[in-house]
Amino acid sequence: MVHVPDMDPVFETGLYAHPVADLTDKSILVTGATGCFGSRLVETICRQFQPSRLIVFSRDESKQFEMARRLSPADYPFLRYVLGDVRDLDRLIETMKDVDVVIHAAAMKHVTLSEQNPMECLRTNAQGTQNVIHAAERCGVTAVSMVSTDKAVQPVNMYGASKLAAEKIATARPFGTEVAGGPRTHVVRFGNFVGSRGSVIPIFDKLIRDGSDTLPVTDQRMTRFWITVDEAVNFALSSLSFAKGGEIFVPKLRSMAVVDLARFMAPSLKIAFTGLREGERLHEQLIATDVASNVLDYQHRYVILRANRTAERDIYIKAGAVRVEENFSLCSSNNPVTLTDASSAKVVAQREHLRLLAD
Amino acid sequence: MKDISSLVASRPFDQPVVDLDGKSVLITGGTGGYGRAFVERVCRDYRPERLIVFSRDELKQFEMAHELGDNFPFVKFAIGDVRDASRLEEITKDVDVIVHAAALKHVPIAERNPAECLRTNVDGAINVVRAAIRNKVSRVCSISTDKAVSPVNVYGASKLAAEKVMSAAALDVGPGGPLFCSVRYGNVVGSRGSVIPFFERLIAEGADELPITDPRMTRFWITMPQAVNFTLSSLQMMFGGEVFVPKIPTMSMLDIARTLAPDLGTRVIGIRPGEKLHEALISRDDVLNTIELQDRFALLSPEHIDARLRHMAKGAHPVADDFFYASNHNPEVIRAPASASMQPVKPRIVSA
Repeated sequence: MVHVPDMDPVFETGLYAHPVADLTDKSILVTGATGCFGSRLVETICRQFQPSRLIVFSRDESKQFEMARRLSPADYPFLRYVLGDVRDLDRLIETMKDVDVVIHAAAMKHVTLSEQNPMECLRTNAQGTQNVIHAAERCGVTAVSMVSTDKAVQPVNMYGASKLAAEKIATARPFGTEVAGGPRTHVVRFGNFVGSRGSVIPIFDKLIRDGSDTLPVTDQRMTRFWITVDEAVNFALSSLSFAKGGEIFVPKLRSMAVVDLARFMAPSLKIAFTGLREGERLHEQLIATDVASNVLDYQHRYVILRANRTAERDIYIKAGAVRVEENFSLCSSNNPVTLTDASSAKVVAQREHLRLLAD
Repeated sequence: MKDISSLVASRPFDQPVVDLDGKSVLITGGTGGYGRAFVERVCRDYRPERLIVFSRDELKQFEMAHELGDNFPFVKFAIGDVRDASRLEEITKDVDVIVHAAALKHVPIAERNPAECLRTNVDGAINVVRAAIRNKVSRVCSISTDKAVSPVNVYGASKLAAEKVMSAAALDVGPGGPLFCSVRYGNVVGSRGSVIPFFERLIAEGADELPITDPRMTRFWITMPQAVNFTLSSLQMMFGGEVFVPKIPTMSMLDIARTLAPDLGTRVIGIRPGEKLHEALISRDDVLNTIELQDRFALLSPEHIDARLRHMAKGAHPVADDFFYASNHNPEVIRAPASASMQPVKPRIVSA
């Protein structure tokens, strides 16, 4: 995780922390737990809860070694560091024994590298998710949360396609396990993480600090949804507290043009437009209009149900959710909370927060 | 770090020179500490047709590709896992030289995850050998470690097994088949997660003493440029089946601490699970298999008699019957430069 000064507070809204999931005495496994989302999630759980076990599952021993220095089993005796690959079903089954909750954040996520290594991407993202779900069913896990991305919506690249496949695998439980009470498996779908490794904000930040006189932007029109890692962690934890199984949860995110972001971070620098790379697109969608009939507007999030789930829908509606218009979509170019520059992002964030308090 | 490097780097290991120009070279574990140093050297000194960086972690590849920029178009990146035999076979097509550096290397982590360690380090080596034979690669060199000698931990055992996989493969292939060897050396000065960066971080953070496992503990030391040279020259001089061992100096942990921070005290914290007091690079039991070359030793089992004779014809000779090459049994010992402010070693605190 790269911390870019001032950017987190600009995007942070504090909207998604409720309802609080109770993880006390639970046994929790996080895949991809040394990644930017996973490690922040583990840190948050360490600080807020007393689980019976919290298993850090990932492949890279160096990242585990580094993380164990920050979050040590000596300070948090419930922490377990386990090496393993989500491609390896046997290892997952072995590690998931007596686990209650799984948060599945392991994935390949670089669009370009997935274009160049399509099978590697599929094996980790799609087969890996299948293995996680399979192991969770075998081991009697009660809830699985899978972390997804807006690039899975009407995908144009291998990464998005693999995450769409993973969403389908996670939400379409095999017939019969629902009756038998299998895990409440659901998806949390996010936009771009503010400051995640290898992403645009740290790249801009580095160029600015290195004294570059221009910032590269792919296209003047390009827009993206933004979420801070802390918000995403809170969103995943709160969704976990009421997920019934089969939902895709989508936070109501701000979107912003990349060029506005560049201008906000460095108002005096020139901007060079570099053109779309392979597999990139101008705008992202968090929800496509095709599924509008299954979408509920529920507090600070949207809930996408599987088609024709009237029973589940009624539960949400009873809790205050409302159905969206039939032509509804959530696109980074026509988002109700589109920001023209990040200083207004801060204003909007504060206004939303005040509105929330007023509610 | 510079201090330690200049103290320990007595031999360059740069002869004979291997020619990689126009060749296709694959490095597994290409984004690790060794892999990056290898790629940097090849980019500096050679113009291969392809230099394939093979590794699992996309973030490290992404960052490395960014650093290299557009200056070295022959560098190709491929995501993959050495556990995955079919991926290796796919990626070694038309490759001439493989340097196999992918491994799990953290001793305590391997102790806790033995099967993971075996799958990457042993199955991985087997997969590299099979892919090399299938695709008629001409030379393969696997990176090993002193922890493979009389191993006491899973990591060491797995790397010994990997050496055996390479040496046995050298006997299985006929003339014209790939040549296989291993290089075995000690701790690399400054490698990720190792003691020197750890000490340096503590010093930078203003620690008032450095923790050392045991004041008697000694290790062999090699610098990264030496290690890369040693691989390249071993690739050139091998006849197949060797485990090459460089002649490198010993330095104790206490001397390392005192070199990096002459004014700081040291406290004994006790040895960790799976650690040894001293490391051997060649065990006493291997005395009959050891021949001495100019700047290195080579281990060859009796079955590798052809390779042994060919090395002897070029001036190698057997070692004495009492030969033993260990970090506490090494004619070359480096001490910390003398300092007036040298502090005594504080004993381990044992709670009642």
